[in-house]
Order: sequence, then structure tokens, then C-alpha cells
Amino acid sequence: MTARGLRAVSAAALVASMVLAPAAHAHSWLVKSEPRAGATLAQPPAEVVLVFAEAVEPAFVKIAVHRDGKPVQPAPVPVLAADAKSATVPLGAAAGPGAWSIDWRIVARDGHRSNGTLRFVVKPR
Amino acid sequence: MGRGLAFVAIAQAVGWLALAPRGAWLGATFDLCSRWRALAAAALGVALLAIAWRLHAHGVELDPDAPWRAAPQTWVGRVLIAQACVVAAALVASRTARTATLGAVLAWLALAGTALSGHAVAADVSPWLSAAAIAHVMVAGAWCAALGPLLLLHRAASAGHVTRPWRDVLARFSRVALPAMLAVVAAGTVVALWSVGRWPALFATPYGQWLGIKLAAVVGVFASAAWLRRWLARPAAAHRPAGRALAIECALALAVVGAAGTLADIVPGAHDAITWPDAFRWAPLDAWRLHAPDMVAPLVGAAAAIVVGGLVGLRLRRRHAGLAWGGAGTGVALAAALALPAIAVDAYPSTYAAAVTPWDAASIAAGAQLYERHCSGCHGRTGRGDGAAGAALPVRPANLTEPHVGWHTHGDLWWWITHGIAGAPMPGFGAVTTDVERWQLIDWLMALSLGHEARNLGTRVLSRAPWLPAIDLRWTDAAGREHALSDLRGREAALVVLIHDARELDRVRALAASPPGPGARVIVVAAPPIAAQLEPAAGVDVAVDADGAIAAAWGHYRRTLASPDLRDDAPLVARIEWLVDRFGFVRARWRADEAPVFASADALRAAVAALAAEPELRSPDVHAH
Ligand code: HEC
Ligand SMILES: [Cu+2]
Repeated sequence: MTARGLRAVSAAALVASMVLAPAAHAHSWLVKSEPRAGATLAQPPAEVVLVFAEAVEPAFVKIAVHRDGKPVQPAPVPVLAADAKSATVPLGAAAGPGAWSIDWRIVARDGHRSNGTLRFVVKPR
Repeated sequence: MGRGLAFVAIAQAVGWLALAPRGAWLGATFDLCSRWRALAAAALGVALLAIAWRLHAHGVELDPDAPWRAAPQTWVGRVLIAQACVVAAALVASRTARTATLGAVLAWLALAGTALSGHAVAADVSPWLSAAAIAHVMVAGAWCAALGPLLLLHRAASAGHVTRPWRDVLARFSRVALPAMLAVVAAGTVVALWSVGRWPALFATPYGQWLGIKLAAVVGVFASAAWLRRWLARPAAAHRPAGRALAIECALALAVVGAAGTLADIVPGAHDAITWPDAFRWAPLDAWRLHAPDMVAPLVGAAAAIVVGGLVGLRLRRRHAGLAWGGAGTGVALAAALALPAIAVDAYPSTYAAAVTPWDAASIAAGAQLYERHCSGCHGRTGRGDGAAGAALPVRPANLTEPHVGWHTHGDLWWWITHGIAGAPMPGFGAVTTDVERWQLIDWLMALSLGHEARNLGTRVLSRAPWLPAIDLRWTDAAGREHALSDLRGREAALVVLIHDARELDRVRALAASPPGPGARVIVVAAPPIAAQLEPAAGVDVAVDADGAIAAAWGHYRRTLASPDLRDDAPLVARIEWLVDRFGFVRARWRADEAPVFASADALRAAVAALAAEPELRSPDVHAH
């Protein structure tokens, strides 16, 4: 192969390898939460804590809280810990019995996005 | 794709700018220097475009409506902007011959941006890992920087534009290139080990596969570099063949960079779900534990094949080199054909699946209820495979208390519980249980299996020998705050005290009066009526076990060699204490009816202090096999 041919092939390989790269997807998943996923509580928690595997971007933590399928109003605003690895969602006056779901959507510090839903139930004994 | 392009372009600029002031040394016949600076400027321009493209793509991911406003709000965005600024500064510096070297240094520093915006640094795991990732990229960049200029210098030398013999130039490069490449490989290995995480990810995730492509290209780079070194060692030789080897090395380097750029954009194997592609996996240890008798003959045969092949090779070495290699090769091939199937065990797509439940009392309790409902008919109430419905089956239900249950991966158990066992009467429960419920069943199976192994737990702490994972438990303190045993992770040891008889509360009072030391917390587990009799004491946490889940889960760890309770009919023990180290392993146990307490309060304190001095030896993940 000539040097020119080699160059063409390598350029093509470079472009191909970059185009073929699968789309980045989520990996800063939820490692822990309070209450934990699937828990049944006797008392409503004052706040929900989400702990992520890696630091997340503070400006892009989006959270939607639903109780029995209805969005909670006013929408709780998450507070990020100093290490940006956990977010606290105050439930405030909205806390009460029912099936709760917390949809979270974050961007990890390396730019990858991730999302999921934390569910728990509050059922007074 | 912007990442790889920016990297290559910046690296080339580094090379040209570093070369520019060396025109005299090279004996350039006319002003090649300004031409090289122009090439560098062009490369830096391309790099700026590539970075801008990346920044825009990143912004679109964040907020499609205002990408340029969103991008600077993230770490990656800010790194890219800083990288662009440094590249721009290098571009300015490339304009005059005097500042060319400064430009080279600036451009080289800009390469750090490639690592700073990648997984290893942004993940914020450890400064060492970040340092390795940055070193990997920057040294690789320096090496890459030399390749393009070398290629063109070779041309210039052939055309007579430089007088310095090309061999001299190559020899100079070669002297620094080898240590540099080894440094790149060492740093890269550190980063790769972290990002691949576990070896199955190497085969069963896109990340692992791209890493394989990258490694193959790296091997090619080393091969062509070795060829060049041999060529240098020979006396006089023509330029031509060396030029071709160099071109090949450049092409392979581009392939390495392309693969690296892809790796930086996809999910690291350590974080990706593994869907195992094959019906088997090679796992000598698991194979040995599961079917050792079947392995002896093939392994002996394989060893014999290697010995015979080796002997044939040695004997024929002098007379028939070809036959010798053939004999040795046949021996190795035969050995592989015999040994590889023997060390293989069955595997399923979910073999390396990760549990979705925490290893805690609530999950085990939920699993116990599900077991009662779905499984006990065949496998028996206590898991011994003696259920009434199983008696008539052609294959007897497995005894789930035997250690082999713990030797399968949890993903294997998940597969069987979901889909059934092919060719056996074990049915699948995928249709009647949820994913979470099947993981709860597995947590229960693990508790059952570990409970039988817990017989080996003693009353003395064996130094540096953690093996039994503590079961997480939760409690609410007087102020209404929730706590978990796992919250102590990395900080404090715990003495878990399970009380079934109110008379044993005196022991708790004694512990409160004479605590096991600053490095350990006392956690009392008791049913509500007993817990109510306990007056609050500093240093003692009380987990009120309203539904009995904690007592049931930790109760698996009651078994001792003296009281194995294999029939599950022994009365409850009035009190059991377990010492849990700060990494979440149960290290010793005392039962009220056997060796009731640690020899003395002082001895307990000494044991706690010894545990506090131990480093982390392994992580207590029951779910990792
Ligand atoms: C119809 C009877 C039956 C029921 C119900 C049943 N099993 Fe089984 N199970 C079997 C039989 C029979 C085997 C042995 C298969 C073999 O040896 O190939 C088995 C094997 C297993 C194994 C493999 C053990 C090993 O280490 O090889 C596991 C794990 C298991 N069962 C779990 C469960 C669970 C969990 C449930 C309830 C969700 C359950 N089984 C319900 C009959 C049953
Ligand atoms: Cu088995």
C-alpha cells in the first residue's frame, strides 16, 4: 500500500470509529435513597434524599414529585449537597399518605445524562 | 467525534511548533520553520472548530433551545471553554518564531482538557485516577505530536530539503518514544482497570469491545515501532521501507485515538449492564466447585498433551524445526480443546446482572414470604428440598441450604427463578413475580446459604479475615431520624445485640455503662414490648423490630458448630451479639447459651481497636459474585 493509500484508510477508520460510537447513555445512577425504593412508611418523610454514584451538575438536576399520580404543587425544589453527589427534596406541607413517585433527571459531571423514578408508599398504621 | 479530532489536531500543532525552532539542527536548506508554524496554526484552527462543535453538541444535550447558554454551566462545558482559550493562545504564539516553543507548551497543556472532560476525572473518584488519566492523555499526545512531523521530515529528507540524516532524527525520537509509550500504557492500564470494573465487562459491553479494538491497535503500534528500532540498528539502509513502517505506525496511532475518542463518549463497562452473550463462561474456580469430578480427566489429558507436545518439539528442534513447531502447537491445541470445555460453566444473559435490591433485613423478609408462597411446596419449608410437592418429581428439588447455591452467580439464580431450569422440573416465576420480588427471593436464598456457613463464625475476631457480610438494618432514633447500619460504613464498627428475652437487658445496661470503645456503636434489636423496657442510654441505639424482619434476617446468623439447628426447631436464643467491622463484615459472635459474652469489656475494647486499625480488605457486596 502506498503512503497515500494508508493515509486515506486511516482517515476513513478514524471517521468511521467516531461515527459508529453508540450514543452516550446514563450511568450516574441512583445508588441510595431515603426513603429507599419500594419502602412502605407509616409516617410521611419530611424530605427525600437521592444519592448518586457520581457528582452531578447542579444546574441540571430536574425533579418531579407525584403523589397518587398527581403532580405535587408547588413543585419541590431539590437542594444539592456540597459534594454534588446527593440531592435533598423537601416535601414540606405536601407530605402525606399515598403512593409517591419522584422522577429524577440528572447530568453527571462527565456530561452523561441519566434518569429514573423512585417510588415509595406512605400508609399510616 | 470532536474529541478525537481536537486531540489529533492539537497534538500535531505541538509537534510542528516544537520542531520550528530546530531548523538549524536539522540543517533545513530554506525556511521550513515558517512553513511548520503555518501548519501548526492550521491544525490549531481545526482544533478550535472541533472544540466549538463539541461544546455545541454538549449544549444541545443539555438544552436544545439554548445550547450556548446551557453549556458553560457544566464542568464539561467549562473545561471545553478553557481548552479553547488555551488553544487560541497557542495559535497567537504560533505567529512568531520567537514564541513558537511557548505555543508548543500551551498546545500541549490544552491536551489535558481531553482528560479533564472524560469519565475518569469528572467522576471525581480519586485524585490518583485523575492524575493517571491526565498523564495518559498528555504523554500519548506528546508521542502523537512527533509522528506527523516525522513523516513529513522523512519526505523532506528524501527531497534533500534537510541535511541532517534522517536516521539521526528517527534515533532521537526512538530513544524517548519507548519510555513514553510504556508510561502511556501504564497510566492507561490504571484507567482501564477502573473503567472496565470487572472482567466480564471486557467481553460483554460496548466499552470492553472498543477497548479490545484500541488494544489491538496499540499492539500494532508497538510492532511497527519495534520494526523501526531494528531498522535503526542495521547499518546503512534505504529510506523507503522505514518510511512505510512509520506511515503504518501513524495510521495505527490514528486508530488508537479514534477508539479512545469512542471510549470517552460511551458508558464505562464498570457502569454498564452486562448482558452475557454466550451460553457458557470460563471460570475455573466455579467449575471446580460445581463439578470437580468431571474436570479431572480432561485436565490431566490437557497436561499430558502439553508435556508430550513439548517433548516432541524439544527432540525435533534441531533436525526439523517445522515439525517441532507443529508438534508443540498440536499439543497446545489439544490441551486447549480438552481444558477449555472443562473449565466452562453454564451462563445466561443475566449471569452478571446486578441486584436491584439492597442486602437488608426488609428485602430478606420479603423474600421469605415469597418463598413461602411460591417455592416451599417443592423446596420445603426450610429449603432442604423436602417439600411434599417435590417428592414425586423425576429430579428432586435442590437443597437450597447447601453451599453450592452461593457459588452460582446471583444473575444465574435470577435466570432460573425467572425462566425455570431447562430440562428440570424447576418452573419459572417470571410471569407471577416482579423483577424486584425475584431479587428479594435471591436475597432470601443468600441469607439461607450464608446462614449455614455462619456456623464457622467464632467468638474471637480473626484478624484480616472478613467473609460474612452484615445484613443492613434500619432504625429511627428518639428524635425521629432514620439510621442504617450501612451509614456507619467506613467510620465505625457496630455491636449488634439481638434480644429475645427481657432478662438479657441487663447486658445492654452493662454495655451502656462500659461501652465497647469510641470506634464502635451498640445497636440493640428487640421487639416492641422488650424495647419499651429499655431506658434510653448514651451510646446505645435501639432498633425496634416491629415486624420481626430484623430478628428473622439476622437469625440466619445464629447457627454455630455447637448448635447448627439443622432442623430449624431449636428455641429462640435469649440474646446473640455480633461484632460488625466498619466495612460491613460480621467478624465474631456470642450467644447467651454458649459463650455468653466477650471474655471481658477490656477484651472487647481491644478487639474493636484492632478492627479500627485494619485496612479495607474487600468490599462486602453480597451481590457481587
Ligand atoms: C415444581 C417444583 C419446584 C418449585 C415450585 C420450585 N422449584 Fe426450584 N427447583 C426444583 C427442582 C426439581 C430443582 C432441581 C433442578 C436440577 O437439579 O436440575 C430446583 C432447583 C432450584 C435452584 C437451583 C439450585 C442450585 O444451586 O442448583 C434454585 C436456586 C431454585 N430451585 C429456586 C427456587 C425458587 C426461588 C423457587 C420459588 C420461586 C423454586 N425454586 C420453586 C423444583 C421446584
Ligand atoms: Cu447448584
